[in-house]
Amino acid sequence: MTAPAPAQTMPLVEVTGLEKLFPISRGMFRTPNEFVHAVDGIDFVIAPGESLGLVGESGCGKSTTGRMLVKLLDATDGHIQFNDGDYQRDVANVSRTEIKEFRSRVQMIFQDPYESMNPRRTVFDTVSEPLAVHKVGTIPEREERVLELLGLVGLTPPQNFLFRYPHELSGGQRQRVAIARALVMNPRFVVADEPTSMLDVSIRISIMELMTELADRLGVSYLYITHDLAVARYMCDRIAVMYLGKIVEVGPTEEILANPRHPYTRALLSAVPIPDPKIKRTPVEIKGGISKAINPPPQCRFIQRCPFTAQICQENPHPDMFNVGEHHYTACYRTNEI
Amino acid sequence: MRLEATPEPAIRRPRLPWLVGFLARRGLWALITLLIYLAVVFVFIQVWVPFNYATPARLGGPEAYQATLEALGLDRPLSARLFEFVAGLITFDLGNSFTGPPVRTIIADTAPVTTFIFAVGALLAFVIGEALGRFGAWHRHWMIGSSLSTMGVLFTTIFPPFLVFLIAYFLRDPFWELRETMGLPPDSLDVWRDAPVEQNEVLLLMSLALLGAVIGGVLVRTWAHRNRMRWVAAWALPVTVLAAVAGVGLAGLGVEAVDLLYRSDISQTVATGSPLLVLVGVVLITFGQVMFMMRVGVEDQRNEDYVLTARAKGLTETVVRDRHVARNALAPAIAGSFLALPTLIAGMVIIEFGLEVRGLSWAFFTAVETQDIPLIMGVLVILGVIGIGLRVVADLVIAYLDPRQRRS
Amino acid sequence: MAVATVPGRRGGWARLLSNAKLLFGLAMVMFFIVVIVAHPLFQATIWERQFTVYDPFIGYDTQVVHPAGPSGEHWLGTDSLGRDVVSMFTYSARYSVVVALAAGIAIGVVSLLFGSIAAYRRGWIDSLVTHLSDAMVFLPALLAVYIIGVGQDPGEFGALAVGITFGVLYGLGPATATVRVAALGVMAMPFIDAARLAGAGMTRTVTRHLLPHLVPHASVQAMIGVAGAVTAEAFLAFRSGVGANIGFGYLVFEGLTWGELFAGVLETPWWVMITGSAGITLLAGAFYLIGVGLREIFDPHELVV
Repeated sequence: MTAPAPAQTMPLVEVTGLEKLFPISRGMFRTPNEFVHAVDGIDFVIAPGESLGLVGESGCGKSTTGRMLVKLLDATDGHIQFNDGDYQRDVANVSRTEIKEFRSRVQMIFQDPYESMNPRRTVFDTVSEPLAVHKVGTIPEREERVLELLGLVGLTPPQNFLFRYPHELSGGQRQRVAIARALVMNPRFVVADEPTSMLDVSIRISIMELMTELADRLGVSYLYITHDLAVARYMCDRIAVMYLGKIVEVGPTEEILANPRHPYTRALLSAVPIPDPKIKRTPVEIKGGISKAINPPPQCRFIQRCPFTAQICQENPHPDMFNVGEHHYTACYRTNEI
Repeated sequence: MRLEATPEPAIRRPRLPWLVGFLARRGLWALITLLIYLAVVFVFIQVWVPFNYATPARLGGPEAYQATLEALGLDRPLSARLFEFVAGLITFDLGNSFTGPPVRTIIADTAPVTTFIFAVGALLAFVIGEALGRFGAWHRHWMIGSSLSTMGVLFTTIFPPFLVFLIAYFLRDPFWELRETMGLPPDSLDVWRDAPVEQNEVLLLMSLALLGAVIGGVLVRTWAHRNRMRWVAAWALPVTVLAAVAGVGLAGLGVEAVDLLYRSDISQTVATGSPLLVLVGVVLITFGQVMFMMRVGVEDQRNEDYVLTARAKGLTETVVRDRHVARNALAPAIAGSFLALPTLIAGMVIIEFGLEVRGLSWAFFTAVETQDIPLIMGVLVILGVIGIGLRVVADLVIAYLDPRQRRS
Repeated sequence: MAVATVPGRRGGWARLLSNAKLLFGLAMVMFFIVVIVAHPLFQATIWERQFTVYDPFIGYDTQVVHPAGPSGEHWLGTDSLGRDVVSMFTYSARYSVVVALAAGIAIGVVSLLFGSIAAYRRGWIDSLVTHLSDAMVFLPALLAVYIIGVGQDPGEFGALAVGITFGVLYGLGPATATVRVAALGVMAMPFIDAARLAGAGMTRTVTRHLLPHLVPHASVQAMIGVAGAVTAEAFLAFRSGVGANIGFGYLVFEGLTWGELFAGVLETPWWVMITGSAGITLLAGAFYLIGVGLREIFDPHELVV
């Protein structure tokens, strides 16, 4: 079930039925019959110029989704369509010869500013690497471009940073370099995987401001992955909430925050533990626990923690997305009653 | 619509203890590694060596070269030689040595002593190296650390023939005088004349006794710890080892066993090759590497938070050092020590040969110097088998020590 | 792990200098280099005057009974053929150092090549390399070199060949195993993903991102391996007896075996044997110390499992 985006033009990114299953092999020769359903059939779209927030707790599959979108990971099923003007591709079909082209249009910013840069390479080496790989420009031209970008991301005066090493920079500065590197080839689409979660709270806002400003200025779309709703609220036009590999609610940011229609979204917002005696304590075990969906049962994924489970939830498979408002969808049978 | 829910999977108790799966996995690894090792040996001897080897003959011209290859049996087609090798491995018959007797017999005669020395030597080297590493790293007195390091490096890198000389010069005579003091006749044949069993059987008995003692002692100790019998646990291992020794003695084979430590070849009448002295040499060249591994591990662990916790709980330094820190450092130390295996094997072979003990080293050197291809291959094969076997045992010990490794 | 290997990150150069083992090892290697340089110098100056006495090959001091013990004239004495031991010692060093260089480079190249490619490609290549290096551990390089080398003309199978052969065999074994594990660790770092995102392929990733982080580990293995290489070459010479070039191994052979021949008739020239043994032990020890010292600096937290 697709939740259509507000814009009527061709979406930049269209994801349908995306799945990623990781096999758990038991024993040496047995073919695995158990899989971790990291991403279990999700659909969403991102319009050109908009930013979608992907929100959820650790282990819900959001990082895995992000990596599939930039083709660091191959999906086990589903379809990712990327439409950038004349360049339209099914991401899974991008061949090895075409991949450089793809990589100039789709980029990623990582979570860890300390480990996502090679400690032995200078800022110039790191930011200009995409240029070097694509054989763009001469060395002086690349220097120009890097200086331009460093200025853009707020590292001024840029000449001072050009030949510094990562260990000479603060976390915030490093993340700015990461942003610069992501933008150096003028991508249309950037997946940001919790870029501020490892930064001091005091500098998060400056990075987020930078990213929004750049998005406006350069027309870049984001998939912004985060576990923090407050951050998503600041950065994103729309929010999709993920739980155990499924998207449970999606809609415009303000709408979702003002009127959450899925029990899980409500729980996230209220940040209050779910105080219901009906919640069974799942024994601590090696598999099938709360944060791992191994061969999950067909019912709603949230069944074990939901305070509103009813007969209807037990008897039916995981709910499809129901329209509950303007571009607002949620996957809950009881959404009108809660 | 009724929907049958898949029941939540219950906690699955493994049907068999981890040991079985682990041994199966390691057994498979051992098999694959052995196969590749055999392939390497084959390629090395049958392809590379002729390329390099017959150079003296090559200098004499192409006919001489060809003649040498023929004499060595290396001019036959590769596929034929490969087939012969594989068939030989399967039937445990690697053909006859150029000197006459079947390779299999020569190996069977010489392998037991070397295996014994290898296994016991590695074990002892490990025990000593581990203890020294533990002490050296824990008690930060710089003098202990550096003197231990120096000794370790010295013995690891000492030129093996020189070590042989030192052992022979300093230890041999006192060792043989000890024999006199113990009341054994100087001539081994006197000892073995009325013995009810063969040499190799006694050797086997000694090995089994030792092995049983070690395993039994460890098991008893684990059991005792679980039941909080501290004294039993502490003394379990020494008691079992002593019991094993006593057992050998009580079986009436005490004298024979001691004699074996003195001589591997009972027909010799000179006071020469002693397996025990070779053992000393092997331990000397190996303990240093184990010690380094252990030291690094302990030094690393001692800064961990759990050490503070243990001390805060009131545990004594000794307990913290031995039962917590050292235990954690032990598994990686064993694994790391295995990288020193080639040096150990090479050193052992040289020392054994230098001290004139008639083991695999004798077979090896005579084979190489007479260009006895079948025997060379036989020795290399058996060395590989012994080495891989030792590795599996070590992995078992590691898995026992570090539960995280059990499922890998 | 990777970040700890950057000089400058933790006062890198200072750390390099603070490790006692490393310094000691370097000092000893320096000593040998001095010895190598000293030989032609001495030969050209002091010994030139009496080359019939001091030449390592043909020197023969008619004034003394041979073998002669250490004395004012001959600091380390002379051997059974009347050759001055000091000049033989200084001459021998170069031979072993050539072996060391050859072996060191071979080990480095082999382990870096196999280790990095195995870690990058994973899959069956990784399996193959792992099993191969596991298997090679059980074939001691020294014994293999011995099989090839014994009886060979040292002109044909000289220092260079011995070094390279040993280096390749050792390099495929423990060295590759270690480097591969380290490489796997580096591959797991996010900056490798970032490089992939930039469009980097295997060549670029391996050469610019992987190898620089692996060089320290390869160096450690190279040093430790070189200690073995030097010993292997000396052992080969030792067993080759009179056929060998003059080197440390030959000195030990002379001192040990020849001495036995004349035992009782003439004094066993223990000073010859000890000089040779000391030479080889110290040189091997020097490299080993450097290796162990480097290992303590670079990754004290990562013992290869």
